[in-house]
Amino acid sequence: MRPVIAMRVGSWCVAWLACVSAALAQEEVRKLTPEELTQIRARANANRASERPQAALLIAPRMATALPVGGTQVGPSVGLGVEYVTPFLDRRLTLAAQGQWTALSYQHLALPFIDDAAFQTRVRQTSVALAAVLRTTGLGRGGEAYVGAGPGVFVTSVETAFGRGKRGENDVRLGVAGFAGIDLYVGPGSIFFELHAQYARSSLPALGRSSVVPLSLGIGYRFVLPR
Amino acid sequence: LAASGCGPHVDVSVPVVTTLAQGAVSAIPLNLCNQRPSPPADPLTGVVPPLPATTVVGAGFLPQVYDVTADTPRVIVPEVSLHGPIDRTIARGWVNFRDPSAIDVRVANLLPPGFYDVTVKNPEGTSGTLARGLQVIPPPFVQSVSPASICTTQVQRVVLRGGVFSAAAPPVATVASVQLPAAAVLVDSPTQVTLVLAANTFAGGSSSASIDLTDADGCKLSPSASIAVGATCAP
Repeated sequence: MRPVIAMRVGSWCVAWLACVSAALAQEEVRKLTPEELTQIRARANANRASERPQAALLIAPRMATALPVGGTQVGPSVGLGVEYVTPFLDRRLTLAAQGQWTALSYQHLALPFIDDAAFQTRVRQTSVALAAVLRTTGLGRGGEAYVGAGPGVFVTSVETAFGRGKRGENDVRLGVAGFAGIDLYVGPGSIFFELHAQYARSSLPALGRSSVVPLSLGIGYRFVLPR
Repeated sequence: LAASGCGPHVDVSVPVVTTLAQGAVSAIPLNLCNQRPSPPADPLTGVVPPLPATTVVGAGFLPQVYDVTADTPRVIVPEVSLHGPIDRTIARGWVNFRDPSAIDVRVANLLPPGFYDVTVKNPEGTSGTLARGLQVIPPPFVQSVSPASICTTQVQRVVLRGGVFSAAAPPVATVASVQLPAAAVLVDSPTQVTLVLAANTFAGGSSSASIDLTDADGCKLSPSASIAVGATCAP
């Protein structure tokens, strides 16, 4: 693709130079009209776009922490995202598959009718979401921002231990995930900071109608696999 | 944004009740007096402790926690109920889940005597029952005491008529707070027991003596019977 782009850029330059020299030849110095300025800027932007990294796939491992929203505990989360860079919207539209695993723990106070002993509920959630991601170069040369959303499958397991007794619960449900973040180009890829939200209300008795991890904040590194 | 689910799965545990126990006694049925005296009040706080707990022994007892993300999650323990002459669900405040094989409950006094089935029901609705696992028994009672008066210097025989007395498990008798030896308590019939009082069993000087009976299950005669004590013995 690069030779084609180079040829196209070269042809634009030749055409522009020809126009300018012709204009100069006719009336020495002539101010550009607003229309001409707009055209020149558009061509310049097109040339700049062709300089964006010609990536085909982005692979992004990350770590995150669930944020205490709506009674949710703070807990660790790890994830992996794979993005395919589509040719649409000047290659700013990508399709992402994001997997995330989160572990939460709820410590309950001792209750007089549970033998005055504290007990614990452990929650584990694994999710996979498919999302459309829109990327922008609005931050300038050093990075870019992005936002994405899409449907997901959420698998949750809950275990409450009452002394020697344990009660397990689990469900598989559909929901939606959304995220927004910024990429800062470092090395061959970029460091990213991402706010991740999900809406997938559980139907398990122990979780009520909670989405388990409604909001999480993550950091990771995005590897770029060129075309 | 409505989310749809593929259906939740909650572990189901089926309770099995195997026996009842109180203290070191474990039996089917477990005999339980329906007029147990309250333990003495705490001398410092004045709080009267609850009645001794009865333990339901078995397997598969399991509470359920709800809404752990809420400010105050709810925990529901298995429900214990008695089914016999009357049906009675034991108040949740009187149920203490110890572990999946033992639940302590406090059975109220004044239940009608008879056999009761004991049922444990987990929060998800599964249940198990031990048929005739509990027998509520009344305390012994005394309708008449003869003779009307005794003396302290000679051997005396006191006949108590009432019920219900068991020759296989004679009651423990005390007269004027002095416990009689087992050989001195003779169960003549389910409605009659004879106490043999040795001479000088208790100190003289009092005009009457209280008589208490406590059966093998700890059920105590209430109120105590009494007998007049004379200064001189009848010829």
